[in-house]
Amino acid sequence: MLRNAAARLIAANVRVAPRTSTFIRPLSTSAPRLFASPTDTSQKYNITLPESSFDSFKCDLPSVDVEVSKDQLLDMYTKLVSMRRMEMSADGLYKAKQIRGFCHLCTGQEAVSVGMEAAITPDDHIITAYRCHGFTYIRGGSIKSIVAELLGRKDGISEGKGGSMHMFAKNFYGGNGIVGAQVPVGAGIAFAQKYLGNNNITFALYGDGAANQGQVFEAYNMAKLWDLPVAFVCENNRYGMGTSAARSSASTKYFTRGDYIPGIQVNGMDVLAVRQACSYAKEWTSAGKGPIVIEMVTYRYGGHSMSDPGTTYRTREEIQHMRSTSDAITGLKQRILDLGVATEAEIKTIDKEARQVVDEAVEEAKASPLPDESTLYKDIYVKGSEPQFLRGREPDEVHYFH
Amino acid sequence: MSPKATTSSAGIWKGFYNPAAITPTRFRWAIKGFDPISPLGSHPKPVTDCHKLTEQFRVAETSFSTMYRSVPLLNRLLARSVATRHVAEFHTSQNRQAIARFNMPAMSPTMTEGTITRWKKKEGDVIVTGDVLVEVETDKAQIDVEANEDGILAKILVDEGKKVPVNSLIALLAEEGDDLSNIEIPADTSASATATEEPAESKPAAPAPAPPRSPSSSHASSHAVPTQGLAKPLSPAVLSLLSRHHISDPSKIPASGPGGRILKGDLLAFLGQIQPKPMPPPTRSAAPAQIMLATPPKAASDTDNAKTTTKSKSKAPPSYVQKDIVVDELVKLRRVLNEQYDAHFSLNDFFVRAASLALRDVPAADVRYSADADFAEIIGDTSVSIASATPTGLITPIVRQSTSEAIKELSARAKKGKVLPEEYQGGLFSISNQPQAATLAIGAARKVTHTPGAVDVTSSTGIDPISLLSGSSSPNKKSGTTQSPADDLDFLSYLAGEPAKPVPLVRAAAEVERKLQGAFDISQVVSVKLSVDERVVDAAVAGRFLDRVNYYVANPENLLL
Repeated sequence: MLRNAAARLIAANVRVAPRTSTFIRPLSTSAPRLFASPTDTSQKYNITLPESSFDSFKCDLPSVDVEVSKDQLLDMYTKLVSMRRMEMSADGLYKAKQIRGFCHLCTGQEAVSVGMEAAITPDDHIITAYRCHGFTYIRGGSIKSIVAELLGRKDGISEGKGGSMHMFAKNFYGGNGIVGAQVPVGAGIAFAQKYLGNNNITFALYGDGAANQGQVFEAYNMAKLWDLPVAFVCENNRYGMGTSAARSSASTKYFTRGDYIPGIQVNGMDVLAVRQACSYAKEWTSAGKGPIVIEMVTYRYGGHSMSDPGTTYRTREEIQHMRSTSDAITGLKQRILDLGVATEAEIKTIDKEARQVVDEAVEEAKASPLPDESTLYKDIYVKGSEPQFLRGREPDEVHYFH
Repeated sequence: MSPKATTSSAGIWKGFYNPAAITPTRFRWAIKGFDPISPLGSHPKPVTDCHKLTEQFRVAETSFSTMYRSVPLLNRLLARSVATRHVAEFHTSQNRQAIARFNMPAMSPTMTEGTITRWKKKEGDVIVTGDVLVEVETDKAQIDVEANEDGILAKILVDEGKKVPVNSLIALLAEEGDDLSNIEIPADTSASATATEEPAESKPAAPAPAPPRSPSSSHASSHAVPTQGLAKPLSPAVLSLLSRHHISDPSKIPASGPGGRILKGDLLAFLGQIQPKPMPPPTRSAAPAQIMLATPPKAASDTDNAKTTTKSKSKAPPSYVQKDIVVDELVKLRRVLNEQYDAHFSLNDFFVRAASLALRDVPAADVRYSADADFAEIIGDTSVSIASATPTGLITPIVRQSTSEAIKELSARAKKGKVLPEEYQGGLFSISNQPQAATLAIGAARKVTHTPGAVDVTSSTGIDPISLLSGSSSPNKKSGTTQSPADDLDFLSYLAGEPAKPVPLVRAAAEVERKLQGAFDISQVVSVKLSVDERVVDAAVAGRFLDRVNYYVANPENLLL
């Protein structure tokens, strides 16, 4: 009885498409992509997302029909699991007092970064705030370099000098500490792309807490005025530090806050929905329609940062509820199993491998030495434009560049 | 196997997986829509789009439900932890590889040890990510420690009530299905960060009575430095250096700070990093090192007496320097200016101006004795205060800019009693309760007969200059301190520009003058007497000052500059 019910449910929701699919893939295949190459010959699946995945404001809804291949699905799953494992390792290292200072983890919000990366090319640009470890990883930073950066070691992505707030990768601009400061910068990057004639999209991410910052609206204005190819993405994880969205914002419909900029709201815990929305945004900006606002409704299991237990402003039951009902990894795993893309055992293997890879990378990062004192003076000035000397605290601490 | 489902609804999955049926009633709200419970306690207005979000998640639930198989486990979990509808098959996080260590976590960056208050799970319990394993009490608060991974709590190694340092082993976690009977404590594989740091790794901290834990930092805990027996507490810089160099006995370090305090320099010298340079003995005075002294600095033994002797010294009799100044040129200038501007300038206007210019030229005279410290304080401005008589007494308004209008206006106001306090206190030449450095008394103009072309006019014979300050008609009387009010009024009214009342001696002088007319030239001479406070202005400076006054008066065109 159960199996019949299951089978009927699967049949209701999922269709395995024939080879010749009439559904146009909303993915650009002109450039090499992280998740699927043009020569991806694995089996394609058509999935229908729930209707409640999207909501729109002054624009059309993205289509709920998604086509995705087996390789893509397994790739996404691997990335999700690796990211989760990396964040949990950072959690453990912080609790072991190896990582000091700030540590903002994106446990639970992995779908946003993985889904976004699945929809764009490496030539597109992303800028976000300090909850950036996942984005750094997905944009090309190795796990070893990210963890070493948090530990403050030489092999870190910024040579251990920057930490969370200073992580950069190709076409990924950080890693920004000031709340909401990255949004106008993101609009600027989009401006540069338009100026240079590149047909790229820039994603400027911010949180629900930063959504009320003034400069965000200034960026909206300039982006709409000049039709900049930027997608303003609000990662609404319901809490700005400890303040719930209802207590901080008069309007919690962050996708409508663009006013004259159309917006869409997406279930940010579903990788495929995020991927679909980001493809939609890429089409939107490529067509010259100007900016778009995306609200990713997501959730973080941990506190705002490692010094926040995360239970003083919400109940543990709520966290457990979200973990059990809407976890991104569980959801994708469910889909994979439903579609028959992989078996439980195969998924377990992926889990184990990802865990092993991350653990090894963490060990390597821990074995990395602290940066040399000479790196203190590097990367301050563009090479060739340094002054003759830089004063230290005392006369014998003067550093001569040449 | 069928779940504990209801028979109420008809839908395929409603009977099959009905959260409402499984979840206890009191937590139904968790399904319908959750209200983020604010710290205020009361249920706030729900999030506007919450219902829609829950809808999404409920859809997700139904898609999960197809694989819902293991109900008994679920019920067990539910019975144990609230609203956890986690299915054993689905792991939201990684599975455990093998027996893993569970260390005491640092729940805050400053935490060094924690007390285990209560174990929330027993040995053998299934753990889900996010479950609270143990309650730990730190020095700041009681915090719940959650599990990061699924698994089973294999063994509890530290009992409740024990206090252990951070990063020490407190429990072992295992994977589901592992054999829990023969559990060995896995070796500590967490490599420390100090692989390439200095080899000096001695840890003065007392080792925890637990399996060896990896050294997590190269610094000894600053708590490990024994500070009993020290005269003064250690500053953070010193404390950090001590722990970095693993010095266990700070009392060995020779201290040179105040009260036997160990300074950073002492510590660095002890370590041999710098030359020993003990702190110089503290100075008691708040005065700057470099000051201009009008008088030689007092010996240290005298400073204690300074306060008691100040009062007596402030009343010390001043010393006098006198000069006779020929004012012919000044008189001519005065006549010219009075005609030109139709004004009524008086000689004292010019004298005031000359005095202020002389003060500018001789800065050593522009001083004030400071009673708090035993030195002369240089005043920047060359302000002159003019004594005025008022019905209520003598008042000396200060002329900041010595213009005639200002003087007249001030004296008029002073007479009426409408001078502001700041206008009459603090002037250089004033008779107020502040000890003044010098007072210039300007005598009346008198005619002096001299041989034509004499160089030194003032030394010629004639009537002795009448010192109006002395207030007496006897020229030999040398008293400067006693002033009768009547004389003050005469002097002041003169300064204010009113014609001086004839004094008998002057009349006699006029007689002589008339008689000698023709044989001698007559010059107008004004006698000025400078009474100085010897502590700040000595005679040489006073003489220089008067010379300058003389210069300006003799060459009055400079006054106008």
